[in-house]
Amino acid sequence: MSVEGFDEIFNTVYIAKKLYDIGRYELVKDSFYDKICFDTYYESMLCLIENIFEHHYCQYSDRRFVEMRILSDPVIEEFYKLAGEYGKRNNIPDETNYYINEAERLVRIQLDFSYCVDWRLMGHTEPKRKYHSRLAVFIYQDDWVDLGCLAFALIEIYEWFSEACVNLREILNNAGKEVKAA
Amino acid sequence: MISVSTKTLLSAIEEAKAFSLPEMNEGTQYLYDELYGKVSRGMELHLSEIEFDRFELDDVDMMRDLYSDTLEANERKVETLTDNLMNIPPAAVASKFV
Repeated sequence: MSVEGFDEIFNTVYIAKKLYDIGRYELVKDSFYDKICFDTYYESMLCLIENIFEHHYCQYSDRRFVEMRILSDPVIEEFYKLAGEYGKRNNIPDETNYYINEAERLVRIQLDFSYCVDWRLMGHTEPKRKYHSRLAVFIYQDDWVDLGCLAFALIEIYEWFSEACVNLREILNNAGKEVKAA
Repeated sequence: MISVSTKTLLSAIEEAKAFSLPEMNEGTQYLYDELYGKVSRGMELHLSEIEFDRFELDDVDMMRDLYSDTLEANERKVETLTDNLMNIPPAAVASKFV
């Protein structure tokens, strides 16, 4: 007799703890039932995936058996604006901009956990509209994907963009001070 | 009166010695006592009852390892032990003083 739903129960605790640590526990209250139960695991994770980023759009293609989720947030938008500003000040094109490439690398690390998950990061240093910088996640329905793993990866991505904004703002502010001092 | 073979009973009890748990840090101990303790007894677990300050993310990983390496195996051993105890054949004896 093993504990029924052990993995799902402790995955839920793990994600709740992660959100608690980064100060976003309200997402747990908004997305999860208070009673931790393995048979509501997927429902809860789906709800969380839709809530992590401010903007979420989902479309399912019957023809290709793929679910497409478009995710965007002010932290992603701001990151690309700041990274673009950093590039301009240092005459670095977007293609070789360290921060833009790091964002791509981070998303690859987080989302390359299943052959049924694909992604595309579309960042704009000069956005033309709200939520122009965004992350597209494709979930192929050929096989089973642990939505808990996907939710956790998206939390890590959100956290990275959020911290990167703080770092870039500091770098740009300090550079501004140095110019003034000179 | 029903009696059982002492030898078989002792050998079944001997098996129970294997059910020792590895040492745990405070966080893992909390998860083991308060969370695993509940779900393993079929009790409900509520997010609002969890004290998130009492453990770290790594402790959840340790709890998972503890489950897959030790607890799950122990549960199987308990089942075997229970079966063994239940299946010990009774031996008919007559005490001399009766």
